[in-house]
Amino acid sequence: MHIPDGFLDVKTAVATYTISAAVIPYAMGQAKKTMRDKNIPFMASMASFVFVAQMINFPIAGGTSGHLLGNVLLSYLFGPWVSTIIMSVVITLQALLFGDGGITALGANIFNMAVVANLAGYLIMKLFGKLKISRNVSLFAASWFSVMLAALFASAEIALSGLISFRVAAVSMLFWHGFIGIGEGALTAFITSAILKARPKDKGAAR
Amino acid sequence: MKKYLPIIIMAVIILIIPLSSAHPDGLERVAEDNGFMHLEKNVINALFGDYTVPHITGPVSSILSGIIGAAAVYILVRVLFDLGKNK
Repeated sequence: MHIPDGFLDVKTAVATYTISAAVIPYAMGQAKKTMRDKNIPFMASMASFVFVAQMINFPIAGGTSGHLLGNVLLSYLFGPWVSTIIMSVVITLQALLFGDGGITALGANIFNMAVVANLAGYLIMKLFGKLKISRNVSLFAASWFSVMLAALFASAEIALSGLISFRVAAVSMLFWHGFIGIGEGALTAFITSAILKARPKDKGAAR
Repeated sequence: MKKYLPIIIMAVIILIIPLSSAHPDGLERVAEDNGFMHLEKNVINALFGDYTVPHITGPVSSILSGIIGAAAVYILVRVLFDLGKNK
């Protein structure tokens, strides 16, 4: 759901840029505090992995496609702040080098997909962990909600920009992303399980 | 063998990039259905626009752009966090 240039009006673009510009330095500070230095090469490798995985769109119903975002995968392995930073780097390079997501919409895209999706997924993982719900179910649900929350905020930004009403935007965005979120959930549970099998020590900072 | 597994997995994922679905994504679909897709424009001309490498056509172009992107992301994330090391 990378918003291209041309969709957002000035006030929405400026507002989301402002929020993202405020969150990133804070996230960087928190990431420094929580990260394990010896994990840095692994963190960079997983960032590469998420970038490549985002290039692969899987078809969903009705001639529409979606791809992995990767927030819950990253925050489960490295904590929410490292995840926010990695996602922000990925989204920024996508916009600058590959024209995926607009430059004027970069603040909004980082806010939706690196901040909102990330915190939503992390908090749900934490809650489900406390409720002793199994890891795979938690990963699936947290991933699904992370996509839905990002889609909801994208709808709000589209509506604020005066393109369509919030109601229409939210209903249609949530409809399609309800399917895309299933892909996100299944992929996240599968990939995380595979990584934990290969690297059992990476228990997950989220639990 | 186990040591090379991550590299093999990355190679396989990069090789299947050309199989990526060309259908509109969720947001593009909503924009098409509601008649505002035409508002999309490019403020900058990205060097590897649409995940292709200039002057190279076919599936190789998207595979190369995947390799370039993976390398760029790796380097930037590595440098950022190395700068923030605790020691």
